[in-house]
Amino acid sequence: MLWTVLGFADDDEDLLKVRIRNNNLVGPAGFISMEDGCVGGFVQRTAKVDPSAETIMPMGGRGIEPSEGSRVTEAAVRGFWKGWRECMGL
Amino acid sequence: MTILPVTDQLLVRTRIEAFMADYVHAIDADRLEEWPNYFTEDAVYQVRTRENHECGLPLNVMSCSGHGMLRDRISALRTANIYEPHVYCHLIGPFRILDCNPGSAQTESNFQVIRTMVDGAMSIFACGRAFDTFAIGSDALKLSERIIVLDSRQIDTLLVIPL
Repeated sequence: MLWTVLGFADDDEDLLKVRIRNNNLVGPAGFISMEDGCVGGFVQRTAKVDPSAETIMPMGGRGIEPSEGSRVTEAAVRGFWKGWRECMGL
Repeated sequence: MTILPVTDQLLVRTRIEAFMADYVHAIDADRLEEWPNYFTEDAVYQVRTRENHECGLPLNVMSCSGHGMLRDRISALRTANIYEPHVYCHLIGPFRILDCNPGSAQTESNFQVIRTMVDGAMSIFACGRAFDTFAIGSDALKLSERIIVLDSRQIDTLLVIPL
């Protein structure tokens, strides 16, 4: 993963400071993003078992019913694409 | 600026070496709550890549100013961040003294961190230079600034434990 953080040439000193401070949220040491790195690591190691094969890891099953108890699910995304396929007649 | 006599400079060097030995052992022994105490109240702690450092780009991988932000890092890694358990082994090189006067000193030193994961996998996690500025009191040293410049711009997975 490559992180590119942009500022603007006419940012004044204060704005630059704010941007640098906010950058603590993202990147490899980001308060928000480092968890993604950790989970990405798990997924990558699991998917690498057979590099020549394709791996699908459906999170939260295959259905589109709302899940009880946990919001860690891809049901909504699956629902979106199911709807899209219907609209497109696929 | 007053330049110190050689014997005083040696004393400062010895104090810095002892201080930084304590600093890295506190981290490596997971006594991370002690980590902010090595810094002055308004200290600056930054980790940046050599690429950004040499290009003069101000972006850091991690950037803390003041004790509050240092403590935040530790409380986040204890209570909020999700990461695989791992430990560091810091190896620090000799300190080049860039500047030394009665109230402060600046040093440059190499460092290497070997990271061991809970399953035993070991890797050279970080390597580079540390630019440290010390506030020298009569009985205690504190870091007023620590800029870590990482040789690699690639960090394996995440950087949660400080360097």
